[in-house]
Amino acid sequence: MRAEQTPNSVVILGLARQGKALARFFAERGAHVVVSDLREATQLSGHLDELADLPVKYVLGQHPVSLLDGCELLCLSGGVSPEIPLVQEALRRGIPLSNDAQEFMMRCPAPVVGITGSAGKTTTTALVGRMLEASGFRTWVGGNIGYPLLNALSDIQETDRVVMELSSFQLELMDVSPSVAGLLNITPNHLDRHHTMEAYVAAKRHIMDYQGPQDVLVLGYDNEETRALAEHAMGQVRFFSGLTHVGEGSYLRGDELVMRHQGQETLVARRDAIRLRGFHNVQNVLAAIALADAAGATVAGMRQAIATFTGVSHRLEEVSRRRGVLWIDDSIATTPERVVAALASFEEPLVLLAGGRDKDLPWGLFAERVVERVRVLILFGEASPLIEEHVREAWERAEAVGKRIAMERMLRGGDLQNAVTLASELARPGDVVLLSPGGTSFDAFRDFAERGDCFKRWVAALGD
Amino acid sequence: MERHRDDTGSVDRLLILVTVLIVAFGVLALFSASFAVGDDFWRKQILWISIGALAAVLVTHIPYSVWAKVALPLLGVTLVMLLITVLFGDKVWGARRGLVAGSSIQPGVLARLITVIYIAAWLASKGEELNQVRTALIPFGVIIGVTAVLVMAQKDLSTAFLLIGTGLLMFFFAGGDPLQIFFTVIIGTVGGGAVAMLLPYSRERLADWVASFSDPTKMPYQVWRAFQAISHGGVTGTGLGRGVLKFGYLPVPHTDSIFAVIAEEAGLLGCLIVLGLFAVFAWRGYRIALSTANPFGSLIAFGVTTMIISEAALNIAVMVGLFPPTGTALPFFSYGGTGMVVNLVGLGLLLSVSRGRPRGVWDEALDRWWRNWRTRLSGARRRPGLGRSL
Repeated sequence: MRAEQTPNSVVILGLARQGKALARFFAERGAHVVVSDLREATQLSGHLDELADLPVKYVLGQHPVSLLDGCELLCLSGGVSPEIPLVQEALRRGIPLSNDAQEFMMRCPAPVVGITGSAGKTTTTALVGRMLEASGFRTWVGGNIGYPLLNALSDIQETDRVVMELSSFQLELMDVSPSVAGLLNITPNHLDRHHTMEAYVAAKRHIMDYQGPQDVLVLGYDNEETRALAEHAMGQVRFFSGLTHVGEGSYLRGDELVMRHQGQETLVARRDAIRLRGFHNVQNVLAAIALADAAGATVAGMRQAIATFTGVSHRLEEVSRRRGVLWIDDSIATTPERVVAALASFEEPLVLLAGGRDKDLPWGLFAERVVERVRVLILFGEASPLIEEHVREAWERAEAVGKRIAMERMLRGGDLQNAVTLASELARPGDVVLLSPGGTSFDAFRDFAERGDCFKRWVAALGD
Repeated sequence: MERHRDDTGSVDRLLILVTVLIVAFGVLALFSASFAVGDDFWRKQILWISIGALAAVLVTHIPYSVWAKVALPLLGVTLVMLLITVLFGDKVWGARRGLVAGSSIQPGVLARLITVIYIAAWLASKGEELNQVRTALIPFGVIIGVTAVLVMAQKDLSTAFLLIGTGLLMFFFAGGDPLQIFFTVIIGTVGGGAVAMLLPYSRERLADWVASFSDPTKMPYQVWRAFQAISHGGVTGTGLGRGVLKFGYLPVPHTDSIFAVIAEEAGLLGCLIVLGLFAVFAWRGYRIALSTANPFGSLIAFGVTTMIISEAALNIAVMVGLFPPTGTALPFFSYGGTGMVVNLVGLGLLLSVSRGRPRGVWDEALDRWWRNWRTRLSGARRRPGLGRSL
């Protein structure tokens, strides 16, 4: 742990949830805080009001180099890339970089469980939080999801537990690791920002690179990339797997979720106690078991949490049933991979709403599955042409090979609201209408949560 | 060289005892290591030991001259198996409803024993011609080279390395010219080094290994964990079964790293016992080799002993950082069906040689048959003057 003195002068880039938390944190401790955001004051009025009680200086509309004069610490909010010229200049001048997760973890008195991965982070984080709570710990859940924990620091005690979701963007800048780290899986993601898989993996690895021998690292055994990382672990390695009986960690034995530690097997729960759909969620629960156990959860606590956890918003979340049609909000599916996992969770015929903004990711497998499993495909958003092309190709290939094709129609809905209207017209009783975009929401919304909320609103407005 | 009477007919009991002790210690260590990876392993190992022991008893009572006759076909089969593995991958030998579901045969391991037998037969038939480069060293190099390349094609560098080493030592033992061997070793080391540098995975390991002598943080992960285990064990160890590093720190504690598990649980004393047991094994094995008048028998004994001892030495050297990690097993300790059976069959061969030169009607018939085969084995001309058959 580095010495956690407050720097005299801090510059924060980006005024969103994380930026505000950092601003408040440092301002309250007497540092001279400057916040810079590329948006103008008019767009930020809500945020500015929140920080009105603090002596924070603002430089809006641009990131001038003069910000760095006298700056001792440069903090980046979530959406800000370390590649922008200002950050590069800061590196040249030897100014340290940081973010809210780093600043928090450096000072947190309670053990931190940090979780990252290409998919399953949020569900696993939420579930681990529930498990620890049910085991009797006062638990704080945050990080990438919910609110930044930085402002709760003064309330956190040594006997508490903290569970944080960490994105590869946050990890990129960090040089401190949580005492219990979870690396669930690594698949191509965020390649628009990280540029290569190597860079993406290197960023994710920061979660384990700074651990010590007393720490625990939980790795996904079923994913080749994370399994191979065991060779670089500084702490103790435990695995979770839905397919193999691992030596140390948690796994699926028939219908039972079992935990194995130092040669002892303990039954934690049965598979049918899980209230979430899909095999990927079984893996998430197994990961949560391994992580929570490493943080001190009791078996009873884990069992109770599993039995009562119905999932996280916008993740395969049931929105409504009308006229025999089930509407599902899976707005968090911001990569084609996630959609593939979602499709596997349903037996019913599907009306899929897909689109958004692409992150330079491969759509091949998505297209294949869609052709096999989806009855009607309605595209919306920026990525519509791109997806349409892939699906057309997959359709032709499937036809040529003689594979079973479920797809009857593919059409462009324009925007999401229109797509919802089309879906309500085309869905038949017994269908599932699934919003699982495969792309990000940034082409038309603030984030996936807003997209999901709008979706719910429009579905409700369809009336009956 | 002392010569026993050729018809003692009794097996070397001390060798049997030592092997029993080694295998017993091995099961104990594997039982402990299995806590960390799954109960199946030590249970299956017992099965392999039983099969191997049966095979060993069988082999002990077969007059060993038989092996010289079938050496060539055996080698042929092995090379074919290796080729199939190269072409179709490891999985082709595994997970069939064979002997034990979920287990697989490793042709590379099998190849080591078969080549020992073949080389012994080949060298024995050469006699005086051993020193002629054209008819001896070169063809020898080709035989070993082909086998080694096939093994290496499966990324099993260590087995190839051991194969070549054992072969060269047998060549030396058979009476090869030390000068030729010296040059071969030089050329081989340079060539092997070049190969190691070319292949990316081995180059990295080599570079890390060299760097680790001056910078301990560059130690390969497995070796670093092994060091932790060894130091945690101290002199007397944590107690059998009470090691902690096998749970999520030491990779593959039931195969390559089993020596580190022993070091942690039985301490320095345990390590010395293991080394001592192998030393006694080596003593008895080489003693048999030196005291058998029959060239083939003597070479078989030498080859088998070297095969086992060199593998053990390599595994332990890797564990203590004296050699870059190569993925070798510790004979009789590491989990592995093919290895256990092969090593026990090797023991059977040793015992069979120690029983002495076979006599009797059956053997006369074999001798006659052999005289006809000998010429075909390697195109060797009969040595003039020496009326003794193999």
